[in-house]
Amino acid sequence: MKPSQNSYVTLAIVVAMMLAGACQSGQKRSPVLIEDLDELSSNAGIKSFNQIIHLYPSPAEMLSVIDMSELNFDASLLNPLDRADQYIDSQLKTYALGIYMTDLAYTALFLRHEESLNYLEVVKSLAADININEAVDEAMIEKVRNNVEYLDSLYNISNEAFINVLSFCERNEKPNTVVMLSAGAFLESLYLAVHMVDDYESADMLLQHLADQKYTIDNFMLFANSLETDDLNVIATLKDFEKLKIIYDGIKPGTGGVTVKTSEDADENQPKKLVIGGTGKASQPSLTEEEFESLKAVVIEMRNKAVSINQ
Amino acid sequence: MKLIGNIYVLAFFLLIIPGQLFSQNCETHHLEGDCQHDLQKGYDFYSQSHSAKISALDTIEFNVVFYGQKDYILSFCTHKNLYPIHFVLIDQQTGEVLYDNEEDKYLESLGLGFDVAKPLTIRVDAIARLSTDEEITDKIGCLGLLIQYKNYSRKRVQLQL
Repeated sequence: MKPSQNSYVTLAIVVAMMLAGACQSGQKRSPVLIEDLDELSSNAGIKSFNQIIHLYPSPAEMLSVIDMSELNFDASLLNPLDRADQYIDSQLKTYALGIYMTDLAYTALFLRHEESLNYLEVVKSLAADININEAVDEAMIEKVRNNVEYLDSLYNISNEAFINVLSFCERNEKPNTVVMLSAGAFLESLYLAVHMVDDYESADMLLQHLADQKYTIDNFMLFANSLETDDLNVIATLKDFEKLKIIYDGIKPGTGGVTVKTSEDADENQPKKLVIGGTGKASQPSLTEEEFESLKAVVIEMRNKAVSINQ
Repeated sequence: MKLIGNIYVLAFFLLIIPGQLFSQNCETHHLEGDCQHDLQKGYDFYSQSHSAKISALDTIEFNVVFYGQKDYILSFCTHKNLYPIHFVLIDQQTGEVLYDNEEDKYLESLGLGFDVAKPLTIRVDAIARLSTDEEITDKIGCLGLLIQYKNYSRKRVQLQL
């Protein structure tokens, strides 16, 4: 069948339009002011939205702030592997999954290959139990198995597992799962961190890290409370987290201004860089010894309840 | 008659295609869009990187926790018709505006060094210079915020101490 002349004309128009579109996309990075933006926004009948997204670091990022080089690996702090199959309710399994993901990050940060593999297996199994098995698959476990020589990659894999799970839940609209998972992960990271403080007087860095979690719990609680869920397990978990929030709300938030300056060490290949600093130690939140002891007691109580099979 | 028929078909597809481009899933846009051109060696992916749907009329606020003693790179990307992207960094505790990219002709990547931990609100809107009035009111695209980080070098930490 011979194509008609009209088909050629149509094809030519399509190609011309596609080329025009392609040329247009090349202009996207030229910044130009729009002068009538306010006017457009105020047109009657046009809806605009202001969306607020509360974000917080992964457990691996929370723990990686701590200098592990001067600390010893303590397996007794971790939730035992054999307890994983004893959680029955799906939300409690999710809570436990968050805890195990932090334990995975802990083993990865200490470069413990065998333990990391074991905890990743548990994470995979629990993820499958709550139908998010796409997020942590066999390929990820193979990656750990095959990276015995590259122990640094354990950290990246543990981080990737957490990010995959959150992305999967977001994609599939499972906000309660995100809350329970994040709550478990955050609680376990606090539990591990409070146990790393041997002596209040000589644990400056660790105490600062714990105090800085004020910002993390603020963002987490804002996110969790914005859901207004009616899931009883989520409600009970958030009620428990209010105890932590009260302690964090009570600590000194840090005083003094923020300094912003353009960095002097920026080079041509890097984007413009600003340095954001506080004005001295007082600009950061800090924990008194009494506050630290209260925090430690609440964290241990909450965590022991969280890992208990008979909740 | 056949030419008119072809033009109808063509017009139909031209109407449909931009809508599809605008309404894709957005969850991983920060890993796929123009943001990936800003990936830097020596930096790690920060888990608070995020993507969301945006129209030219919307504002998105990302509340992000930045740990201290780290360098970060923020990169923003979106659908080609929604550029340039306007973002403002706000101190979450005081509400003070720390930076507005309007002063740098809407640059899309910014390096940040944090001496101390700080929560920031990153307020973003799409100016959509290439969109028509109709697209501005009707179309939604993806907005990606890619955050990369690395620890301060030991030398720099010592200098600060």
